[in-house]
Amino acid sequence: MAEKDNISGYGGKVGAANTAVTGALHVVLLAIGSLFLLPFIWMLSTSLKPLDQTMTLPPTWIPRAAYATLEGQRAIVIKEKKLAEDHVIVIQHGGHDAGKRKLLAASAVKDGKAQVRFTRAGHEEYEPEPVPVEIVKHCPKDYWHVSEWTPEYSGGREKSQAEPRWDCVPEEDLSSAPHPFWSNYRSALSRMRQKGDDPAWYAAGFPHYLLNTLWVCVLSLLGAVVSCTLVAYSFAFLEFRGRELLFGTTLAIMMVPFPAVMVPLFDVFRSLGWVGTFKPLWVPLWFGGAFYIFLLRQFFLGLPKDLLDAARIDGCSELEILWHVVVPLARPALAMVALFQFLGSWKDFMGPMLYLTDRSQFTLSLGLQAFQSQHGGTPWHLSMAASMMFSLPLLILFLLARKTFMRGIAMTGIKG
Amino acid sequence: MATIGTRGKGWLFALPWIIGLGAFTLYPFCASIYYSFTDFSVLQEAKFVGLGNYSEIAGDEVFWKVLGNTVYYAALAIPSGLLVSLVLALLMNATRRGQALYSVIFYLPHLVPVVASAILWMWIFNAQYGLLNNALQPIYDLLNALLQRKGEALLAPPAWLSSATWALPSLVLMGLWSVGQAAFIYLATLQDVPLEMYEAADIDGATTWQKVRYVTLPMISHIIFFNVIMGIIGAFQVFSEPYIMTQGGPAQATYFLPYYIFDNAFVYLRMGYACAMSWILFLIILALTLLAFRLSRERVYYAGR
Repeated sequence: MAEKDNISGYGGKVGAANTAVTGALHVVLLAIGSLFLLPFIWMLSTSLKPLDQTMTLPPTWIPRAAYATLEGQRAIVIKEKKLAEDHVIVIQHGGHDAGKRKLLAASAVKDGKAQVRFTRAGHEEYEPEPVPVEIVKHCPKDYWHVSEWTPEYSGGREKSQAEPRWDCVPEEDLSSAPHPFWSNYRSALSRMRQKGDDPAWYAAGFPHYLLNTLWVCVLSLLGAVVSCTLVAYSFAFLEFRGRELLFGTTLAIMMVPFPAVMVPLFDVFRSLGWVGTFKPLWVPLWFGGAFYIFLLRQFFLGLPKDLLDAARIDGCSELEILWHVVVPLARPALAMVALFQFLGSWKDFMGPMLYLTDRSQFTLSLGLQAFQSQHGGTPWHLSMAASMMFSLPLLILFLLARKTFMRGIAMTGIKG
Repeated sequence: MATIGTRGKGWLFALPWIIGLGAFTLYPFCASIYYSFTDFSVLQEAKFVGLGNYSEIAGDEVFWKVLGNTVYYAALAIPSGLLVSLVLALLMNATRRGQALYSVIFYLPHLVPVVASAILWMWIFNAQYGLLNNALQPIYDLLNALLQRKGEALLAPPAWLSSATWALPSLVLMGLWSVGQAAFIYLATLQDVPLEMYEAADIDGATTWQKVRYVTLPMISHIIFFNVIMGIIGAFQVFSEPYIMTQGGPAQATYFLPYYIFDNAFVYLRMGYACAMSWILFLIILALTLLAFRLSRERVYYAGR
């Protein structure tokens, strides 16, 4: 890079005219870069919103909390709706909900009586007869119907037993301020824990999925590093009959698409009795992986051969040479394999989906997919919070080990 | 160890891989040929049916439909992915500062696990409240204002994943978000292009475009070729995104061959039939790869070969 200091990537000399070109280039790159970042910002922004703000048009980027005075206290509220006509708040005397406050259209109250609804077994029904009601507050048109925000709030689908506080307030009584709803993350976590028929299911939740994922990740990366180092060593430094054929096969099978071997492979694991265990996800890694073997072999071939010969003359066994000479020199390459495998196992969806059957074994991929198919649709703020938590560890890992990653990716191209 | 020669040691060190290669790739690969000639499910033993599966495939309307979808997807995803990643790499390579920052930004999406990115994009593609349609709304408002003046029918933004026309292109668009890996490989290769070549071109009075066209692209053609092959293999394997986001719908618009193979194997329990289709999939990929090799023979430049 050093010699490039005075010359742009395509060899042009730097001058006044080129400064303008370079400026334009950065503008274009920054514009494209922000397009690439936008989905992340959208994910973060949505994950910090209360449900009602995920459905405002046009969408807001900065989550805000709306405040109103409820029973004399300033509280964060959900703006349920703006009243399109005059309403009244009444206390119901008689009927199923006797003693409860209700919001009714002013025109619905006649002679101190009104046709009111009540909820029975999840269904709203009308009382057969109008019941006596007492008007306690008049809410003119354009007042806001607001109810207290609670972390459990998600569009009224799963309201808890205790009815949240609510009221009707004029627009000027409402205020709002930027406010990140971090509690969405806690709600998403608790939603992943589902009560099922089987008590074992109840134990399964995010921490459980995380442990399962880490378990598979660690076993796979250890296996990949150990086995691929051994195999790559033999490809790089040991002569044996059939080595070229074996290496050629290793390169060729990288072309085999997974669906082509999916069915018989499943049958192999089924006959071993491994379906429904973590074994299909990590055991194969202890027997090498074509791509890593290739990467490590290339790296090993670049090591100074004299060192190995010297060690051999000193009477070191191959294992000793591998451990004392090659491994210390190849640390960056081994770190790369470990990182790639960690990433691969963490991200994997199809493997766990094929082989894991019981919910208590779910990895984060499966847990998140189950979450989406159960709760998907409306609570996008929770889906985004869950997706954030699932992606963030990888993003952080990447930023911490950026150099190792980038070197590894650059090496990927070598085989072309 | 003294009794085992270098030869034996070589085999010994390679042993894990010999077992792994055999048990987890070569055996399943060969077994799927055999199974493709049988009627086979988990519940019963394989029964030889000759070419039965293959002749059934020939008359299977769903197969032709999903094959068409897969080819359509590949035809959109491979060139667009190639173009975007190459342009990003060329732009990054033209700058002297900030390459590290840009490559991080472009690489980040590649790190998001498929389940998370699938859910994120379902939300972005949401017809009503999604990011994409809200960004497009002003354009449609403008268009509609013009159309209204002419008295023509108004337009609405696409419903993306819930539209049979747009669901497949939506998946392609989402795929473009994670081209960072390929872009970075290109960038690393671009930096290996010897500067003398550009200097020579400068002396000959070449324009920037001519330098890109006649120096840069030929010099990185082997990596372009490599990425095209990886693109072919990837595009013909796409499964998780449609499985999570659209379940193959709407109206089977995103039902791809790997998904149909999966359904046959694990939902309809017709594993022999699934194997026959997976062989067809493999042969298609093989044929395309060989074709790419053939086409590239005159066009790809390998330094030092």
